[in-house]
Amino acid sequence: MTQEKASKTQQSFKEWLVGAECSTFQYRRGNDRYTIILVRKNADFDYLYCQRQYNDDGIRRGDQFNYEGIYCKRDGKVYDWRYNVRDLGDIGAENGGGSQTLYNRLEEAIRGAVETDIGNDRRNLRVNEISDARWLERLAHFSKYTALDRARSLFLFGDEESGGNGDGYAFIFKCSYSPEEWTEDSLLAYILDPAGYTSAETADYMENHQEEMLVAFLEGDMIAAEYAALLANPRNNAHIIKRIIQAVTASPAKTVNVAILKNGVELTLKAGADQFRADCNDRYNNWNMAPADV
Amino acid sequence: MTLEDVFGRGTNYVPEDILSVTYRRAALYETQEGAEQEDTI
Repeated sequence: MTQEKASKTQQSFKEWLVGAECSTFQYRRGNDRYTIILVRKNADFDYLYCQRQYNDDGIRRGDQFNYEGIYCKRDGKVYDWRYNVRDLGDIGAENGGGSQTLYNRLEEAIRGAVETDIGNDRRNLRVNEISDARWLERLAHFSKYTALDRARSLFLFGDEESGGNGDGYAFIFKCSYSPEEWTEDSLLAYILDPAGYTSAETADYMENHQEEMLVAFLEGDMIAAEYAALLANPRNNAHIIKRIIQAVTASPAKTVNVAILKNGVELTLKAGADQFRADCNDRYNNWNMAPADV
Repeated sequence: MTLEDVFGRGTNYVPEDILSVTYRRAALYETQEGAEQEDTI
């Protein structure tokens, strides 16, 4: 800092000390005293800092002020509020929402907007094939390791959200957008203009995630194909397992008697019921037999 | 009698081996083969 600049700064500081308006607010809750100060961020926002004392001392010179939230001058609300101002209504401030609430609100709004734009119809995408090697690799992996398991799980347990109810499968496009973590600038920009911010983010997502959205449709195709193959094959053990799951799940049983015919020998054993409420994949094991019978 | 008594240690059974699953003498699940058995409890 040059000597001239330092001198100006010192003068400004002296003038502020003399002329500063009070930007301090104190209140009590129980035996605690809270001292809140406002620090200007820019023309639209002040930041709140607070020092809390566990008695009636006011403030103490050795203790810190901690960040407590953002005051938006445009709408008069406090955002991103923290513990010490958690009961904002008590001190006359309107809560605009915590940063996680704002994050969730943004995510929900953009996912909804994208899903509306796509309308569960891949023809509303600009692309109709995948060129990005990363997505091609993901599709190959999904086909090899995931599609069959997803189809089997939907067949056995259903999934109302994606359309599988055990009797068929219909793909429903779900946007997987998640916002970046808030930065200093992005949080303030969203607070200042939620609709504008959401609109811009939606447009950006639609512009730059076309192949990613197409991948979701193609993965749905793979699940549908595996699901159809499973339905068409009555020898697949999933049909037996599903009937057992549905029957045992509908009962309150903790243990059941299981009659089996194995290698021509018939045997009845007592077993824990929970294993019959899950997918055994290809076999049940005798570890789950009730102790009395083992 | 257990699976191990009949078939030896480490024996498992597959879904196709199951004739019936019964809770308090009521059949929750049974195959056609199982339904034809007398009382398997």
